[in-house]
Amino acid sequence: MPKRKLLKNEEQMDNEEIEILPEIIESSDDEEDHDNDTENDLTEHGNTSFDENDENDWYYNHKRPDIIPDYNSDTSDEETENTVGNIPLEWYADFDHIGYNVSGNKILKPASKDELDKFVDSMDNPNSWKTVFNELEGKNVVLSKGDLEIMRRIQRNEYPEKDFNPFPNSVEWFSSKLQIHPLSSAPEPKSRFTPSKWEAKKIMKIVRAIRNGWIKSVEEKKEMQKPKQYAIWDDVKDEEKLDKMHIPAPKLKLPGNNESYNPPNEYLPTREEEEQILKDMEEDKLLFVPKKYDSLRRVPGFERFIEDRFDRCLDLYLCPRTIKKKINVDQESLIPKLPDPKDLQPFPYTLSIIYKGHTGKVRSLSVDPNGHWLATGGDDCSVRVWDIATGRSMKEYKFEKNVVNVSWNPSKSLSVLSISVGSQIIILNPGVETDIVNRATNEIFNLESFSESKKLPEAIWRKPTEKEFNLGFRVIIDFKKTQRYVRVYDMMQQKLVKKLMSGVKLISSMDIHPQGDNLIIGSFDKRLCWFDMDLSSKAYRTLRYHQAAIREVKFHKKYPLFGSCGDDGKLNIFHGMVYNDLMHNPLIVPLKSIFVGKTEDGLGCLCFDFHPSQPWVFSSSGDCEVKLFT
Amino acid sequence: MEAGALGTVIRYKYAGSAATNYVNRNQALKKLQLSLAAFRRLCILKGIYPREPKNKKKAGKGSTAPRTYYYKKDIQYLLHEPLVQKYRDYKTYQNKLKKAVLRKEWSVAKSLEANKKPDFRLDHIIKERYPTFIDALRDLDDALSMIFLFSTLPSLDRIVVSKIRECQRLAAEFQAYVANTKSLRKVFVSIKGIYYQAEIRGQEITWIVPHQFTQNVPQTVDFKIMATFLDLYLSLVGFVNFKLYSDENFVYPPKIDIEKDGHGAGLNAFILESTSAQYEILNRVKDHGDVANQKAETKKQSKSSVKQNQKQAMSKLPEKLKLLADQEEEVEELGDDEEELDQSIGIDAVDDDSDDKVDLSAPNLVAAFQSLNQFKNLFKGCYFWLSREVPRHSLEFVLKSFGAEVGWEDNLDDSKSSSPYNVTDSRITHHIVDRPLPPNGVKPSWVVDDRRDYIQPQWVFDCVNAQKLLKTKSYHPGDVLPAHLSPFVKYESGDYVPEDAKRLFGISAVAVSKGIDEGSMEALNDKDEEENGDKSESENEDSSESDDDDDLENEEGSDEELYEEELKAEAAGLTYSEYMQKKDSEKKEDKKDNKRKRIEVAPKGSTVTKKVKKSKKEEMENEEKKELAKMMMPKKDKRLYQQIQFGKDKKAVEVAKLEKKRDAHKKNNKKGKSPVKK
Repeated sequence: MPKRKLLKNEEQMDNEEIEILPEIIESSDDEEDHDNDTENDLTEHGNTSFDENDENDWYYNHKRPDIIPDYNSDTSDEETENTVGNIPLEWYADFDHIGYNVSGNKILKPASKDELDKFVDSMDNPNSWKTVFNELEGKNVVLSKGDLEIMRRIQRNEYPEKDFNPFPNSVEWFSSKLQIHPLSSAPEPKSRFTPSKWEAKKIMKIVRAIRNGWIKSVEEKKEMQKPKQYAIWDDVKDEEKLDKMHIPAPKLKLPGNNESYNPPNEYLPTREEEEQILKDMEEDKLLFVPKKYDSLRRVPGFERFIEDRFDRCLDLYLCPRTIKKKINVDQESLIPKLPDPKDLQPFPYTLSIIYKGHTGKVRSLSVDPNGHWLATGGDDCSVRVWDIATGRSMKEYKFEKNVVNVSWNPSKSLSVLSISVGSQIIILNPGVETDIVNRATNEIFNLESFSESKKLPEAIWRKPTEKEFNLGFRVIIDFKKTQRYVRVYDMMQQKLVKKLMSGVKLISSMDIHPQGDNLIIGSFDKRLCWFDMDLSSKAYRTLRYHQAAIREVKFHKKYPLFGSCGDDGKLNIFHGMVYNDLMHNPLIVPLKSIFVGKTEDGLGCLCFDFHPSQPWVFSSSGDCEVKLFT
Repeated sequence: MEAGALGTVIRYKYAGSAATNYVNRNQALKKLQLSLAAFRRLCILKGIYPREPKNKKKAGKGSTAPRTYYYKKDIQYLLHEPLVQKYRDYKTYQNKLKKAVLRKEWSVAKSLEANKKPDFRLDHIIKERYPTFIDALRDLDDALSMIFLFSTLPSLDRIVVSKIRECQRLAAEFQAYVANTKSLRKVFVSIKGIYYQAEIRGQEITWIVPHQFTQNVPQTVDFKIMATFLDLYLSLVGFVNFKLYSDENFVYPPKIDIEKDGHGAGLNAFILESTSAQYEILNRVKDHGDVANQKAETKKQSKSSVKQNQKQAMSKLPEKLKLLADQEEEVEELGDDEEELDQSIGIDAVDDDSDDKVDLSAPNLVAAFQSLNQFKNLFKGCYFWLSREVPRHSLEFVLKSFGAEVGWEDNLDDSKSSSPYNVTDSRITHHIVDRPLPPNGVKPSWVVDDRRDYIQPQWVFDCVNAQKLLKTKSYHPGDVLPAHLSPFVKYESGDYVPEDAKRLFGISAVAVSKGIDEGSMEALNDKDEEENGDKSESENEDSSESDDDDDLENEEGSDEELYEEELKAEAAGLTYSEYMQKKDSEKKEDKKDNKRKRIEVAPKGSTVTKKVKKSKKEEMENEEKKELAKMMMPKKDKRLYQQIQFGKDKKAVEVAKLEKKRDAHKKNNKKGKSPVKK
């Protein structure tokens, strides 16, 4: 069998020159041959055969070459002698060949004719008008009649094929016309006229399902459905309750007066408030601007209504819920119930005497153990001794430097005043006491005159003596304070007994309860700590009520009173009862808050002292005065 | 494990309940194998919401990234939800249907739609989320607001029209119920819409209805979410309506008079039929006194004589219901079931809860019940005429809920009009108009009859909120209306109280017990004799305010002036009794001081006027004592105290601001008025 068959019809080729293509291997000479061929080929090529007798069909009347439907049957790759392929032929312009044939031999360039030859040729050759030069082959090709006809038809915008019928009659292969002859002569199978067993089975299955009510018709289904609404809550049992952990959605806040269409005038926003609201609205906090309409007909629709609802929907399913405990405490119930101060009298509460005379701030004051004299010293470099009862300044001593501290000797039988000035401590007998006392004092000092002061180079003994007197214990314990802790030393054994943790930053002052087991600390960070030494090394109570640093804390020697004064110019008096039995904690009751004087340069009430026997308190104020409260 | 063998327990990190109780959203999705959209839908329907874990770090197993956490049990609970399977079924159904449609197999598509379409029903969810009817009522606020909103929406492509229709039906049914059982309590016209509060079974249900305008539908709103909520709310309200109707022995769904509805009859188009067995119940109640069980049995409809007897039925039904209610009351009283009685009584009982428990002795109860009944029939015997420009549906609803007869103007001719009577009817007592007056005192064209009261719609709302018939004086057309206040505000000590609040709510407690019955009776009897409309009301006021105002002028401002004086006295530190005595000495008249305000706190201190100074001193001392005691407060208490004080101060600042504004407005008004007078 030929490998390729070509389009050209041999019949129409009238000239042998036309035979361009080399491999025309088989062609049919007449119709009959062709028919036979085609019939033979049918089985091989899998082509369907059509009845040739059908006169209508142009297709089969028309002679055309056989097409062998294999991959090379396309005309696009019509084979030529030259095998260079589809390349620009100029590339071979300089060579004497124009390409290669199948076997690889060069195809020589045809001898080029000059113009004269060409002209002579065109004159001589009757076919010259239909001769075309094939560049690839380097040959002249004479177009056949058929080719010319095709060209002509194309020029006229007609179908290239002469007999092409664009509207062929349709062939009714499967038509309504009854065919007499069966397509196949096989006898009809039995299944065609016997009912199917399997179908019957299937149907029976459905029938059974319907009978048993497994399958329902649409109407039945509709009837079966529960009504859209029915008594859903009628058979409620008590046990059915919501989940314990369920947090019901909070209800929307009910509208207030400002949402009214006609609110009272005061609810309407001012211009600034309105701007703020509009700003909030931009930030997508859904709000509204309160507005007033003088009648209902003027009220417009609310633009954000749907958004409002939508936001609520989002809140309902997107917002995390949690139960927050609301503070529901009566404010007053938080204030502790304390005994009435009136029942805890006596305590100082009113101003009775003002001791005027100092020109600078009073830094220190001290009451003599008998309770008759008051010594004060301060920034005006002077120390004064006052008669408490009359308020007269009995003595005045001038120094060169500021007086830091004044203190009486705690012994009632002596009248010794110590004054610390700068880096010195001066001890003197002011000589205001009775003669007996003066004499006794002088004897101790062994001095000729009382008015002269004796300067001591170092202050060694003052503190220990005082402490010794303060504590009437067999074991002498010294308290030493650092800035944060209080260390308790046993002086006899010379060792550390306790370290009290105050929890404050800067301790300013300290005092010990006359009974010895309790002590209070005032600090610059406004706190007052009460230590019960029997309880623990931490403060029993820490009170923070001063607005500024605490300057001094002190116990009363006789009454259950203690006080504190601070830079806020306040002197607070407390009732501090210590019980003898260990089961009772000390009772602390604030009694009176006295405003001593205004603060100057951030310094208020710098020092105060209790009267040794009376419930009186002396206090210095910011404005150079000393006041007595009784 | 070795450690375990030695007796110590190994504790792994994040194995405790704080970590394992919560799952985040992604974990939940993974567990449920659902898409996010389906999960959200499920959450909406099932009412599952994220929780705020107590310890976020533990819940996040060490991560503090912002996440949404759900309760693990909630998610596990979703695993067994039948709806999840329904979703899957629906998906397969949709795929099949799509396939059939694309293949143009119409018959297959049809049969699929007929047979295989999954039926979404939310009954079981309603039952789960609201185990009892009361639970459902408690959660009705959002549902009603949503349904009323959707009933006013235009038909958009984003909303299915059938749903809007259903919303309209349910909303109308609910309104019809509220109007017929007279359970409306409060109305408030806000700039957002109209708030209504009804009381059903002791539950306060508040909903908002937008003003009658076409809604602005924003693009930002996701209607899929709204639709899911709507699905839930539709079935919830459906069931609630069914229960409400069947408990009142009405047939559900109520029939609608199509002809009337076509003419826009509103509430009148609803025909509430009682179930046929109602009369039997009445008899049985008399015999056995066991109501509750038999109520449920009676749900058969009576089909006879619907349209002819409709009007009669409408008028008689409330009476019958009341009769029935009374019967029930008796029965319950016999059973000594005070709590239920409490519930049925309504407002007062609810108010009592918030205040100290008032002892529910029999006379108190009876009085409360009577006053409630009077309030329910506030407008009874009044005939209202609504002109065209007033919001008819809202007013009709409110008026009918308080026993009024309502007629309205519509654009149809009289024969077709749905209104029960026309403008010229002589029975009309109140004509509601919202039009400007013509200039120069020309008689306006809409004045038909001089005998009736012409009022603006706000009067109706204010009357309802004040629970009494107010004077119509400043509510006439063209008048400057008094402020419309919110009835939902509860004034506590320290709150700002607007001036009108006193007029509306301040003496309402007295008014309810004394004034209204007389007032309504008068309104009933003297309807035709009313000459200027004010008279009966003003008399009514007088009687309500005991003898106080006898000497004062009978003007409107008198109350307010009195109140202001009292406020001033209070600010000056006088106790109420002292103030009264001072006044006594001034006027030398005896007065009863039974008009004590809710807001005022009147301590019983020293009573002699001369002792004022001493009491001041005492106060100072007390103050000092308090200050001293504060010193001894522990840090924790001190902080709490300061927090509370902070809140109080903030409130006080707000109040001061409002007062300042009020005074400024007053000044302005005086300035504005005085030149006019000159």
